[in-house]
Amino acid sequence: MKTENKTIEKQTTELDNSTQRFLKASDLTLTRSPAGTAQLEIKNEACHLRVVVRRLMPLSNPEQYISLAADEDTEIGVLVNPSELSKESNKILNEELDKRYFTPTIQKIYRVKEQFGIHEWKVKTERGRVTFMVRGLNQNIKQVPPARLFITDVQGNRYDIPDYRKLDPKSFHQIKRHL
Amino acid sequence: MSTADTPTGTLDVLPKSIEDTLNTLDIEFKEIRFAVRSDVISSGTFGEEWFILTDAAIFTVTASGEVIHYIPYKSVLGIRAENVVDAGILVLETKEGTVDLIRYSNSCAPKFGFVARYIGDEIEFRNGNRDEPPIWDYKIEEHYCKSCGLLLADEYSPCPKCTKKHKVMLRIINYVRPYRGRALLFMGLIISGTLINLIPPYFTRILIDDILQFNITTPVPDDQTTWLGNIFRGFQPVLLALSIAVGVLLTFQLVSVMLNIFQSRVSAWLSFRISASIRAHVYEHLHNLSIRFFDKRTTGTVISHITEDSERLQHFLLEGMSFLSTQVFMLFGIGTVLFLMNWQLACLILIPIPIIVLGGGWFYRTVRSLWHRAWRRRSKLFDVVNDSVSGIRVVRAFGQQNSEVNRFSGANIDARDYETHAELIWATYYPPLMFAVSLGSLIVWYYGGFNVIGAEMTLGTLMTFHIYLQMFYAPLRYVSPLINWASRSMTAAERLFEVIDSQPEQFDDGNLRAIPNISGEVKFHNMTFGYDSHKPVLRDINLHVQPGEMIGLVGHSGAGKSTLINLICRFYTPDSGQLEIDGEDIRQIDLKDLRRQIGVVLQDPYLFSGTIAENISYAHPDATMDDIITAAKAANAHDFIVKFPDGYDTEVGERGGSLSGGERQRISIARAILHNPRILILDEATSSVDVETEKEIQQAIDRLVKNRTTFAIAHRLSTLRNADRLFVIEKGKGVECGSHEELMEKKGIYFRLVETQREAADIRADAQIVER
Repeated sequence: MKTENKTIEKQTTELDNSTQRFLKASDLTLTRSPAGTAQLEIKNEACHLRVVVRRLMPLSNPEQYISLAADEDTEIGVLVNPSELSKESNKILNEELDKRYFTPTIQKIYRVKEQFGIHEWKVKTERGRVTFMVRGLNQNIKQVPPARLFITDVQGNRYDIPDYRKLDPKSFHQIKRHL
Repeated sequence: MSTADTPTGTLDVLPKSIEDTLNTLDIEFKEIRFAVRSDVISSGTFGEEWFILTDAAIFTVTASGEVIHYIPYKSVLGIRAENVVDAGILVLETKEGTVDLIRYSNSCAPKFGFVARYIGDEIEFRNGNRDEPPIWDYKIEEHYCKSCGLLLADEYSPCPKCTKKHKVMLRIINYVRPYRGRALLFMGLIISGTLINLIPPYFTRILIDDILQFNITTPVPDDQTTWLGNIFRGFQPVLLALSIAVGVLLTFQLVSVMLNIFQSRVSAWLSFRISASIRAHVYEHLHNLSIRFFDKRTTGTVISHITEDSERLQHFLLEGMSFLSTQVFMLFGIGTVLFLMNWQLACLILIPIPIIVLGGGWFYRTVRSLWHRAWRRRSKLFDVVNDSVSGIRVVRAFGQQNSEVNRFSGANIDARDYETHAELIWATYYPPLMFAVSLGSLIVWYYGGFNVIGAEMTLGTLMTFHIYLQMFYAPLRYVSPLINWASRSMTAAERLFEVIDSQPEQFDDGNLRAIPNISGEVKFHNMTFGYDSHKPVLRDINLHVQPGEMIGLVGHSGAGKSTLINLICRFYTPDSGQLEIDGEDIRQIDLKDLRRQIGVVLQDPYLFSGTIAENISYAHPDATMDDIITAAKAANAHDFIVKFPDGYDTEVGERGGSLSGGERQRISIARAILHNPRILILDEATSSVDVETEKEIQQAIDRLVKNRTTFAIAHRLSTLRNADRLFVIEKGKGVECGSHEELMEKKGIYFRLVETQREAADIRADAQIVER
């Protein structure tokens, strides 16, 4: 039984190897398993017990082009427009995306204090308030033109400022001093 | 169940309130083995959630004690710490399916990585797939200063708070000690130079009051002349007095110039020697540091440590120090003189000082940061140029000249705007600052002039006062940039000392074993290693290699083959388990002995600038020419070397640029043959050359591996045909081990790899037939 499955799977993947598969939103249903994982059902085809979701353009287009995979290595296909999914499926997809893409977005900067080359940041993110330490600002603030910033702290956490010019004036002033 | 002794409390201490709530549940357990705190709750916001392992089950519990997951330990099949973007999830495989157990940020990743590894090993042990229980060897990876608790960059950095600036200064002075005679001379010269500079203005006063105003009809009243002035008035005629006064001025100025020359020479001599000895010390220390030190820093930073930082320090020692000390002496010397001459006037000239110091400070800070920003835009501009000029063929091939030009003009305009802004700020604020400086002299002109008119002060005194005033204000203007300069140089010095203070690769705790003659037995026992210890690259490696055996390391790229080799070279040490050479733990073997007996041939051999002969004898500079030629011959290198016009004296140039890949490879094999190592490492030694050359190199390698323990990595499996055994690594685990025939029979991973390569070879052969 199991080996049979495998050969079928192998054939289909071999067939699809050279052409990218784009999934139709109407064929897809996402549900939560009792254990809490996201299951993907493709109409008339298969059911995957723990689907792995990835953004193809996490920075420039996080809402569209979502890769769905059966495990870390086996992609099922690409879903271009998740908004076409049913409301429930879309919700589950977004929850899974939120799990995989943690990067907190900084909404407000309360204070940046420097002591001995370590900058302590007190900020508000969409995931709540947080304080973190950054060493050597030059290497740990990465600017993506025109005004996006990624800040990496000493423990390897990354924080995102999508457009520092759009921060409130006080936060803007705090960040501008360090650019 | 588990027999392992797991000390609780070394990870996180579970709050009493949560423990109490757990006890009220009707789930039975004897003890809590350990608990780990996460900083992200299941909804994805920052908060507190607990992972708890009891003797019978795994729990996750919210901060208020509410149980989210309860999974009996028996039903757990596997556990892994999954890395997602900027965070992690602990994932459990159970009999009922997969469970995303708990989320955590990267701050907690080391803890959960360890927990996953530990529990995973325990389950394997329970299922009988592992012969011993896991060892509790959790170490905290974050590094805090032992005396003040400040967060540090890594374990090799000294605490920036505890190394105070004045201590840095003291350490620099330590380097002065061998030259203390000259240093004292230098100080003496500075003091005398300052004193000498104070004298000429005084003679200006005598010139004006006692000589230029002196004629027979209007004698100067006695009470306003000085004793020196009286002497000069004694000279007759006036011209003689004038000549003498000017002569004295000339003498002082000549002396001042002489002192200046002397002082600069001593200063140059001294500062270059100090910075050279610091540089030598840093460089020497750099070569004793662990490879991990270099992992954490880019080559650029390390190079700038040695070159830029020491240059900055030297610049400061050379010019800054003498400038600073002269100016400070000047300031105090002139200040005293001014107050002695006329204290009321001296008080008045203090008025603009706050403006000068504070305004100057603000001005230099602003301008500096603006220039720094402009400089960064400019370097970005150079990057654009560099990028498109290096890729000029690609640009032309795709016809993208216009878009490249547009990209450049964007960066160009950016740079232009920032530079203009910086210059505008300078142009606007510099003149007012200078005005503030001149304000002092206006006060002197007015108040002093008032006194001169009222005959309370002589014109000479006023003029002298004015000259002193200019000398007084000059250093003040530089106070702020000087402080900046000094502090930046101290930071540079600190960075240099940081390298010096970092721990060396191996320190002798008295237990080091000297192994002058390694037999070549290598043994891995349950060895686990990761560059970040919470992300293991190699897991539970078990391999016993006999002396003289050749082991082929096989696996997909990224499987961990090169990491295994890095461990044998002891660039890194295992996180857990053992790596033994000749039955001796590798950590306890004297590195000098170990490295002397390990030889490496890499895919892209590194040749140093120098001749071919020098490169072959790199590890043994005292090798005879006979040895070198023999080694070259054995490496199939002799024949092509002879054909070069300069033979063995051919300069290979930077990284061996003038030689082909195959030639460089054979030279590096000759280097390894001459080195005569007991343990030999071949890392993709034949992959970057064509088939013909490969044959030659393969021959050379076959000669080289004889009677040595050899570890060889190769993508082309055919090159491993001489290996006694093949060790197959898959995702960091040793999955298969045996001879080619055994593994082919097994029809496992190795079999599939061979099949794939055979297919690829067939395709190549077909293509060749078609071409013909």
